[in-house]
Amino acid sequence: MTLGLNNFYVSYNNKLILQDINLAFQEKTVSAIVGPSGCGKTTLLRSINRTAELESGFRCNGEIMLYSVNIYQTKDVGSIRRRIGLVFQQPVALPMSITENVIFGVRYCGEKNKNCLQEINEQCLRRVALWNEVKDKLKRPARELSGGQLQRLSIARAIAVRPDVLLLDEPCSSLDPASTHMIEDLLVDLAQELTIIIVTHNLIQAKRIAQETVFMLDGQVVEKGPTEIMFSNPDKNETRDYFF
Amino acid sequence: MIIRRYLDFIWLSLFWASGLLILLVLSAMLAYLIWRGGPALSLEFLTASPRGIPLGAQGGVYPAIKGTFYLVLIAVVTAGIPGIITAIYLTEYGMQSSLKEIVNLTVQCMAGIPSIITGLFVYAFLVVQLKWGMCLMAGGIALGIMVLPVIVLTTRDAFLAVDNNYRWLGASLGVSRGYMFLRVILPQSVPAVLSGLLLAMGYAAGATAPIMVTAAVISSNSSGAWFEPVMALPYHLYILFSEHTSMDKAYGTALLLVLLLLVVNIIALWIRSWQGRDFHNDFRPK
Ligand SMILES: Nc1ncnc2c1ncn2[C@@H]1O[C@H](COP(=O)(O)OP(=O)(O)OP(=O)(O)O)[C@@H](O)[C@H]1O
Ligand SMILES: [Mg+2]
Repeated sequence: MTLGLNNFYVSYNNKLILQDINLAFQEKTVSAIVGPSGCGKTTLLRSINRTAELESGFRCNGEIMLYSVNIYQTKDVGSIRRRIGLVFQQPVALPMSITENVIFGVRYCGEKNKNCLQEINEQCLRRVALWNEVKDKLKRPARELSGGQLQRLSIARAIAVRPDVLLLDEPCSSLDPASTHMIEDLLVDLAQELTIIIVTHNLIQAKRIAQETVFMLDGQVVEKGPTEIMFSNPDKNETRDYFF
Repeated sequence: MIIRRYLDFIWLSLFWASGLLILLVLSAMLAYLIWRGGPALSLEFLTASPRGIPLGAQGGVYPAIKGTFYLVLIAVVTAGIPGIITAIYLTEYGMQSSLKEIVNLTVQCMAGIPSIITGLFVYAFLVVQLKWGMCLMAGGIALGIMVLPVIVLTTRDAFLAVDNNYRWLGASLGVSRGYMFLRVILPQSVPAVLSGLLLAMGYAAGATAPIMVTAAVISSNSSGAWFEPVMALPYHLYILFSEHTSMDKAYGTALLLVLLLLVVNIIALWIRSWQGRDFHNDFRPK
């Protein structure tokens, strides 16, 4: 098990958003989180990435374990955030070149060696299947990329700091089918090396790429299981209602 | 429907009328100043010291230009540093703290203090209590106190205008706020910060009350020494008018001051229009 949540609660301004979450994510798998709008999926991911706590009124209870580390009891928040990367729904292009976007986190961590940075840049761009499209314009501002390219760049930036877990919040929600397929393929590929958790509204997408699927409703986990079973023969009626 | 259109027409006419009124007031003032003060403007006026009896009836305003320049410089440095640091605190660090609210409130209150009171305070404290006497430093600090809230508010808005998603992205990568600020937020907001500082300088250059009792005198060579009194354009203007020294020179000085402020404001607007260009060091156009 890479990541585990035990009796995890989150509230904003004393309003309970997540209740008694118990989940375990296996190493080097893709897991999908699905559920209706407002059920707390984004809050869950941001809590695992430890950025939800930057919102005013955030409080949490329970534990999230990354391997044997309770992430909410670690002093070095920055390193936890890098070990559990988060890709946003709307990709963000930092106001700098494509290369600088990819190596932003690596540079922050103190890597100065030019060859090394160059290598990380190329490696990460290749892993998100972006290298061939941008290799001639690495110095151009990242905002010139298309939405699909930008989302892949965001993934490259997140994996450049070598996370153990990669969280993605509806990464394809504003992309065309071709870009969506590209990202699905690269996520399956990335899962050979890291643990991937993806929030999606697209049930077909969950079916295509996820080994396990989690169904959430009103801040609670209703059911979690292997994707085929969730889609063919789920235990709970709520799941059935949502899936069929 | 008819009434709707009628109302629209009335609103539109009102907008036009008010816009026209503002333009009219401004151009009337400028035209009047040019008419009355234009003839006084000459090279000698800009480069000579005041002469004649009473002093200022002849000659120029060079020491007053110099004095105003020094005063504004000291004001923008003494207020700029704490002002920008306060703005950084407010936008980047003060997210959930109640100190932020207190600082915001304090700045708002400061903005409401009449500038003559700032002048009197600096007079009582620096000029009298610390025995600095009327001097450049005291006047600069008085102006600094006056423009501090302006600088805090304009720079705060400059930082706030930068896309908040950058901050969230930085946080999600475990990047510190300081690093994020220096590498992303600041380069993005340089034009707005600069233009805010310039506007504050213009505001300081035209203010009379804070320097009247702290720095400005009728005659000085405005050497730039920190603890010597100086001449200043708005104060010189005030003396020329109130003592009826020379109306020609007074209008000349007024025109000069207005032109100066106009130029400063136009430069500020121009710098502001750079916003949105890439200011990042690693971006070079093809
Ligand atoms: N910063 C915040 N402060 C207070 N309440 C919040 C905050 N962020 C989210 N919420 C609330 O938490 C609940 C869950 O929101 P969340 O964004 O996690 O839902 P979601 O499952 O991601 O929805 P969607 O599918 O629409 O993205 C919502 O009721 C929302 O109003
Ligand atoms: Mg969401």
